[in-house]
Amino acid sequence: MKTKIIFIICSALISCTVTNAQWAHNLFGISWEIGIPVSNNDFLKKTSMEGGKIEYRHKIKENLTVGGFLNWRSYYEYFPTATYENPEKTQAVTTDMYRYIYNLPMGANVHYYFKAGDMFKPFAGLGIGAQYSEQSMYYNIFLAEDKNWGFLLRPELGTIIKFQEQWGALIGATYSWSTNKNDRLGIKSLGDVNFQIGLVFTD
Amino acid sequence: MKRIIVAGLILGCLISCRKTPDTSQLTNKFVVTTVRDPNANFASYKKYAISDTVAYISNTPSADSIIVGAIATSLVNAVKTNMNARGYTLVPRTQQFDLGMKITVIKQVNAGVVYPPGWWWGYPGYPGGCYWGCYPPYYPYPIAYSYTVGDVLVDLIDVKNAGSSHHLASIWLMDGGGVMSSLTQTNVDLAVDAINQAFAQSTYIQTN
Repeated sequence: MKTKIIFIICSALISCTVTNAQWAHNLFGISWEIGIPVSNNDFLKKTSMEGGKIEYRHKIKENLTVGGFLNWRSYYEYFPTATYENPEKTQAVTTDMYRYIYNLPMGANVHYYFKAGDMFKPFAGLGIGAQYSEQSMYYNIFLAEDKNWGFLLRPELGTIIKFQEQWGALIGATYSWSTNKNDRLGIKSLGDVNFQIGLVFTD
Repeated sequence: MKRIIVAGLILGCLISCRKTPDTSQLTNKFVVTTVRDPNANFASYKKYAISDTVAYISNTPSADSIIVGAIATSLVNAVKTNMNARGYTLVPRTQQFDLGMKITVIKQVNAGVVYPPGWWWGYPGYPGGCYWGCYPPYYPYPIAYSYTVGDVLVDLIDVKNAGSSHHLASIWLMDGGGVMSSLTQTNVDLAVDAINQAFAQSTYIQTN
């Protein structure tokens, strides 16, 4: 799946341009996202299928837009019963648990669009903003939860596929990095790779 | 403008769709926690004594008491079995002993009121079967719930080194806790399992 998406994006970037068709002034996008954690894998590492994104882009130049975005993503993974000890081996706890991370990245974005055919609009972009995150552990009837904010950076690559004048498809990949910190769980930052597919509406 | 309104509605719906884990997969067994004194030398102790009764504490103060009989025997025997297997010798409390052991059970009842989110408790679709034209039921009234959380605690007290000041230090503590069943025998089984697990994760409790 990952290989096919990268192939589509690269094909769109490499293809020769014939014309630089008039592009919309405003774009509203809504996407479904798959997320793969690439940091803190000892806390959890299971891929998330529960993610989404909405975004707005406003054209300021023919090949440049600025706007904003809001994402949401839930990661969770079940860990069977195990015994956990502190480094000094003076405390131990035995339980099974669900570990859970909920991320809410948000911010401003800028996108540069490469010249391509009328149908494809490949882009490279950068999102800057903040991320709200909750890291939780569910065990028996108990919940241990931490909430924090962090600074966020999100480079991305993708393409818009224009089906009709006022709507099309959006596919892409992003890397999210944020400074969310959790001393109790030994988390110094959060990072994940996301693949999105969605719809765009323009005017 | 209409598109913005539609987008706003979609945004509101999507943000509310936050996936949380299906915690029904979590086991009902108690969470077992043990803590030890890092300076205690468990190999230096030989004899231990333990009461045949169990202290009972609840969030209903008037209900605090002592548990005797079969329930207390089950818990006390679980501790004795593990201590004897580790090489310690049980003696009556009238004799001199190195370690004193005490079992306490805590019960806490938690209650609340929930207002169900309307159709099918907020989930789409109906669970099978049609009633009065396949319309899902709607709950216009609040629902009261309660659950009970319990803990079984075992203390290991250093009597040998109490000295003339009678300073009784707890050198090991176990806490097995979690949601309790409505069945007494189930709760006893949960507590015995917790005691066994506590010793299993405390391999340092061993005499020479």
